[in-house]
Amino acid sequence: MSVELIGVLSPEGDADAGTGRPGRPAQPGALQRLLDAHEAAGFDRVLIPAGPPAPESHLIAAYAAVHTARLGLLVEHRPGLAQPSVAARALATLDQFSGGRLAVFVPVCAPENERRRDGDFLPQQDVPARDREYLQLLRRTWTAREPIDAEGRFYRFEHYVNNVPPVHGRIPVYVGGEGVDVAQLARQEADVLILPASAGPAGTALADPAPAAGAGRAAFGVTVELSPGAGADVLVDHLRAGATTLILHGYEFDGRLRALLAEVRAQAGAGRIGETIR
Amino acid sequence: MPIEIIGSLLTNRGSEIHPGGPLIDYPFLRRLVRASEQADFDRVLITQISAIPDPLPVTVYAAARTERLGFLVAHRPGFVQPTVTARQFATLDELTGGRVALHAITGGIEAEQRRDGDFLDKSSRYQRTGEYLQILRRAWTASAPFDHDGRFYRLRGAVPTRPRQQPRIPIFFAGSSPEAYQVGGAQADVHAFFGQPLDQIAEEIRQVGAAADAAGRAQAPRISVSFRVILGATEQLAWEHAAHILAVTRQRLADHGGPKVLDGQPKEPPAVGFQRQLRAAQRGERHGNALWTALATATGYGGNKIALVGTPDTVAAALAEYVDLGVSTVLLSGFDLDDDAVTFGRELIPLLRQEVAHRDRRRLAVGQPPVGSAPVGDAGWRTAAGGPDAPTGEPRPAR
Repeated sequence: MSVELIGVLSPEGDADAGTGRPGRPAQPGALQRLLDAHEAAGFDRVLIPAGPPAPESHLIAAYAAVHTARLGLLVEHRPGLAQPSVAARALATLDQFSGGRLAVFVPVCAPENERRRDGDFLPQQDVPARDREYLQLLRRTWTAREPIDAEGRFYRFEHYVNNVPPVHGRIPVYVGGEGVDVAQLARQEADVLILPASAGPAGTALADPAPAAGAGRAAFGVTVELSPGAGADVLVDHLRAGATTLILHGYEFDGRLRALLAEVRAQAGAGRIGETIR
Repeated sequence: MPIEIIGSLLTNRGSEIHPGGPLIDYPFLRRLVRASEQADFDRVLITQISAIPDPLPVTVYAAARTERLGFLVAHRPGFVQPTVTARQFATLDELTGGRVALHAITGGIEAEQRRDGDFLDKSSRYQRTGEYLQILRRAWTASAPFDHDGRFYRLRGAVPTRPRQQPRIPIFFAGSSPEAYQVGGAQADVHAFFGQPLDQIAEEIRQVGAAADAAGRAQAPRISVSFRVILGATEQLAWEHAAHILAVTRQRLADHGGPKVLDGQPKEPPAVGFQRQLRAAQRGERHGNALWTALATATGYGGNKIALVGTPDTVAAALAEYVDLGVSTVLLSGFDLDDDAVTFGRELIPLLRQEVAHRDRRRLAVGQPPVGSAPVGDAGWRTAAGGPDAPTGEPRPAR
C-alpha cells in the first residue's frame, strides 16, 4: 500500500500569505513561506488551484518550480480554455523548469456558469466529449515524435512539431469533477481520479463504476478535510479502501502535521511519487 | 525622458550562426539573464512560437535572478481565452514586482498559426487581436464582474484581476499591414516595427499616427524598432565581423537545404513585416552609415534580419536618427546573445543613452517634446514599471 500525500496551496485564503485584497495574486514572499512549509512538512506534492479569483495556477506553479527543490507540483488546469497543443506546451515547459516534478489536475465537466466566466459556452451535454478530446490531445502532443495533425470534433491543428516535451516523456494527469461521466473519463484518459471530500471511504466505490471489459482502472484519490486533532486512522481508512492519493485540506503548520504525515506513511509503507502512473 | 532599450532572451544560444543545443540551456540562460540586467537593458523580449518553451515560466525563472530588469513577454492572442491570459499576466506582474509588459503578436505565417490550431484568415486575426486586447484591458481595470459580447468572444460574469502595475500592464503590439496599423493605432501603448531604412520607418510612423487619430486617441502609441547589431572596434573590424556572420549563415542554410523557416518549406509569401525588410534589401545592401540588409536577402523568409553595423559610436548615432523620427524604443539583439549582451552593455548602451539625453536637451531647448513622452499603460512606464524601489518580495535564487 503506497500513499501520495498532497497539500493545497491556497494563497488567497491564507492569512499568512497576506493577500487581504480580493482579486490580487499572492505576494512572492508569502508564497515562498507557504511552499517552504509544505516542503518541510513532508508533503509529496502541492495542489495549486486555478482562479478566478485566485492567482493563476500556471504562474504560481512556475514560481514554485523555480523556488523549490523537491516538492512535487499538481497544477490545476481547466480544460477547454486553450488550444490543446498550446496548453500541452505550457505544461511541458513548467515540467521542464521543475525538473520533471509536475503533474496536472484537470477538473472536467465543469458547470455552465463557471465556464462562461471565461468564455466557454459549449452546451453542457457536449462537455464530457470535449474534455475527453482535450485530454487525449494533451497526451498525444506530449508524446509525439513526428509532426502530428488533429482533426477532431472540437479541435483541429496541422503539423504540430513537439519540440518541447515533458522531462519524463509525459505528465501524470489527475482528473476530478462531479457527475456520472467523470469516473469513466478518468479511467480512460487519466492516471488518477480524485473523488470529492463528501465521498468518504464508502464512496470509493465511485471510482470503479462497471469497468468496461478490458479497460484499465485509474488509481484514485480522496479529498480529506482534516478536523483539528484528527489522527492518522482517519487517513489510513481511506488507504485501506483503496485510495493511493490523499489531498488534505484544513491543516496548520505545526509540529503535529509533520508527525501525522509521517505516521500515515509509516502505516501505509513507504510511498513515492509516480507509483500511481500507469 | 529616457529612451527604452530592449534586449532578447532565449533559452538556448541558437541563432543564425549557432545550433540551439539543449532546449533549456540553464548555464547559458543564467549568463544571459545576468548580463542583460548588468547591461542596463530596460527590458528583454521573451518570444513565443510553437517550437520553443512557453514564455511565462521563462519569465518567472529570469525574474528570480534579477531585480530591475523588465520583461516584454510575447503573447499570441487567440489560442487562450483572454480572461485566462489576463489572470496569467496579472499574476506574473505580481510575482515580478511589476516588471512585465505584454507584446501582442498576431502572427503573419499561416502554417505556424495552424500548428496550434488557428485557421482564421489574417484580416480576421487582427480583428480578433483588437477584441482580445479590449478584453485584457477591461479584465485588468474593471472593478466588478463584466459581460462581453463580441465577434470572437463572449463572456458572462468575467472576473477582473488587478495587476501590480496600475492602472494596467503596458501593451506592445507588432504589425505592418493596414489591419495592424488600425489595431495598434487604436490600442497599443507601443507599436513595434522591424528595422528598416529611416524613410520606411517614417512612413510606418505616419500610418500608425493616422490610425490613432482615426480612433480618436489623444496621443499616438510610442514606437519601437528592432535591429540586429554587429559591433567592431573599428569600422573595418565591424564589417569583417558582419561578413563572417553572413558567411556562416549562408553555410548553415545551405547545409539545411536552402533558405526556409521553421522545419517545413514555406508555401506562402513572407509576412508583411518581412516583406518590408526585403523591400529595403532590394533598394540597396547598405543604407546610410550602418544599416545592412544582406541577412534579409540571405535568409529570405522571416524574423528580424536588418542589422546596424559599425563602431559603437556609429551604431549609437544611427539609432539616434531613429529617435529623432519619433522612435522611443529600440530592440537590439546580436548573434551570440550572452556575449553580445555584455558587449552592448559596456560599449553601446551608455553611449546611446548619452546621445539621446543630449538630443533631448536640444529638443527641450526649442520647445519640442522629449523622447518617450507618450504614456504607456495609461501612465509613464518609468513610474509604473518596477524600478529598483519596487518591492519584489524576497525572491530567492533558484537552486
